[in-house]
Amino acid sequence: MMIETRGLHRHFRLPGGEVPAVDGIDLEIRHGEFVAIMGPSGSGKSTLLYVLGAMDSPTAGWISVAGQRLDRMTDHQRSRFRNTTLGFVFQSFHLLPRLNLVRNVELPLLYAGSPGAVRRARAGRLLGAVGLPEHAERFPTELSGGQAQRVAIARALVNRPQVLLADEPTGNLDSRTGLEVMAIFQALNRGGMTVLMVTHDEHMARHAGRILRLRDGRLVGDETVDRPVQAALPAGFDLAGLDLEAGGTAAGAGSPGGPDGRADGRGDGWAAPDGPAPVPGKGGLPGEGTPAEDRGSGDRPGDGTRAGDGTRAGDRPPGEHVGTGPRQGGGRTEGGRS
Amino acid sequence: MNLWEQLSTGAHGLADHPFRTFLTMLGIVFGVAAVIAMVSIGAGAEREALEELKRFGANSIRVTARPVEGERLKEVVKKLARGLSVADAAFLRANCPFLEAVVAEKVTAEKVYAFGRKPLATVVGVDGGFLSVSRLEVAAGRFLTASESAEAAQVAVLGAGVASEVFGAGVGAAGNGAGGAEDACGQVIQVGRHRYRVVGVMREQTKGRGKLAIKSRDHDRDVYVPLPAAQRLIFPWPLEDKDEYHEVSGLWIAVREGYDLPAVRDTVMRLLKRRHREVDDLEALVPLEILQQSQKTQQLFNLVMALIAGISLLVGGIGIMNIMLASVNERTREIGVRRAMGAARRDIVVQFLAESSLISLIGGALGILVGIGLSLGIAAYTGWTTVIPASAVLVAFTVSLTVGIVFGLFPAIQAAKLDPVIALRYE
Repeated sequence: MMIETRGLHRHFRLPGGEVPAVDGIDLEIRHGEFVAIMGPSGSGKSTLLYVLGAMDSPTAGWISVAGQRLDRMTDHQRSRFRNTTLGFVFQSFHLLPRLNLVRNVELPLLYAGSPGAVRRARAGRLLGAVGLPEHAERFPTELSGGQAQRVAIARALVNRPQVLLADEPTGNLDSRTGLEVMAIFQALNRGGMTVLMVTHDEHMARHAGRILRLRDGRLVGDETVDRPVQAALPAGFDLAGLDLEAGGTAAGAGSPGGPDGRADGRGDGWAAPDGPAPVPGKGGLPGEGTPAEDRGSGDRPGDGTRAGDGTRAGDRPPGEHVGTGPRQGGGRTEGGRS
Repeated sequence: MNLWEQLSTGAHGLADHPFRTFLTMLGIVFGVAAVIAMVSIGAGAEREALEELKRFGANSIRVTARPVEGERLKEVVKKLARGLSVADAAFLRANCPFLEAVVAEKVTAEKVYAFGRKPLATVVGVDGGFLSVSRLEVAAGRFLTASESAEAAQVAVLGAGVASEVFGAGVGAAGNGAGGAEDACGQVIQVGRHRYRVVGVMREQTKGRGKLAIKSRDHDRDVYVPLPAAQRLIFPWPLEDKDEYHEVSGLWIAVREGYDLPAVRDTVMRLLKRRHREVDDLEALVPLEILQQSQKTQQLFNLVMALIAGISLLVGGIGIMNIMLASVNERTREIGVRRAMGAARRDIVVQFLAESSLISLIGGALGILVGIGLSLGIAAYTGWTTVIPASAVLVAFTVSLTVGIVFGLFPAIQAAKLDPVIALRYE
């Protein structure tokens, strides 16, 4: 299980009394799921996301992310955990305006203690992979919203996280660029990334494989999306270029160090689609992106960069794994971690 | 994240507001400059005091005859009191084993004429042994010999100032003018109504800056003659003139090592007063004591200066704290973002400390330069001696770094204590 909570509470002490923003949530999210969290404002969805993202600690309850008990961590441990295991994407991008794009993207690596040259190389590579190869020395103010969010995604992925957390990632974008972000999330998810996204946009939520609904801090709905809407990847986006496999650093950015123990958390290898993105132009309408079509790109034997074990992300129908796919990596993740 | 990266991040933060950073820095610049200037004045005074002590000797006592005049003179004459005399000097020499030397001098009002000039000069009659007790030096020729003193020979030694006024500039100046001084030797000058042969010229005295409270006449304007000769100059004798109550005008006394100067002074004064029939007609002066007194004053001055410098550093530090608090406030969201990306509290503390330390370090470096300039300026304007010890520069640097860290710590901790979620949402 990638994320698991039991009786999770987050109460805020306000002058008017205690407000239960998260009021007893039991949750299980498997490795490799793409989950949307929905709910009216004040329902506690963002609070839940930040508690799951180790930014906030629960007032009561049990919480485990990637095999780590967050509720028992010190502030310093949570910082390390955010740095090594999680990636954040925000509604208003939150790029630091005084830093150029390379310096923005390398920020997590800075706190991970990577040497400067390695940071620069990796950040530059990720900027290229999200389709902004010429923008390294530019500043955030020179970007459009869609570009800024892609830079923010690059920043979230630069230290090869296991879970991507997004707080209204399309809230400040027009619908076209919003869909581009959804496509990127779907591509990452197909590659094995666990994605958690808070949104209030039903259409965006339909791109996920599972939708959780919150009201007054309680879970009121847990819906599996049978056929997620498929979005078209933006031009220039290169999933393989993100080089997200933990072991791939040596070959990729030239950084020292091999497998750092995170590889065992991911049962399946990253199916680097070396062809065009899986379903460009086809996923615009609900139901049109069928599992069969999806399979096309990742299924070729021997095309992966590393030894495939037959459970590549591309193998699975986008909706199938949610709650119903026992062969999915979740079981292995637990086995590897605990 | 290593220190260098932290500093470069800090430099980036400062570069966002160059003018604000500069203004904040000014507080430290002036604080450090004040410290440097203060220390340089203190160290200069210290050096001056040591030089002064060298000049007067750490073991000397000066006894000066106090004028007795008018009704009081009549009174003391009735008591058959005599003023300070050669006999007093002899008495002290004979009865006080703790005195190394006692030399009498007679300051006269005689005029000196030489080659048609009337130089500004004081004719002083001295005993043998004057040279060693006074710590003055001869530049050319020789000083008066003991036999000359005893015989009241009509020979004179000129002070450097008198010699250069009569025989040309540079005479008696250290290192050169030997020729001019030699020229002076053997010449004949007129003192009062008598003719004296010049046998030597004194070396120019190292001048005190007048900052210390030791009064002494300008020895460069002295013309030394044997004491008996000076006494003979005074004519007719005796008169009820205030000058003539005292046979000699003062004693130069050197005390043997190991004796407490103020105690010796008190003893000497008691002895002399008894010989003077309890007439209070003398005063005594211990240069060492005066120097110590002036050093105490200097210490007080230093303390006040240190306080002022400290206050200006404090104000500079408060300025840093103020600016850092503003900086933390306006970068709340940045702090939230950095925290989300994995920055630990410690990273945030170090980031802001790096900024405040940079302000104070650069300010400190500039302050040292300004302080050196200030110290040179003070020396030029007031004539005081200023010395900048290397240790002061080191101390100033350390102090400014400390100010940066101490006053940066509170804002940095405030920044680190921010709740990351609230910081992220801060508008």
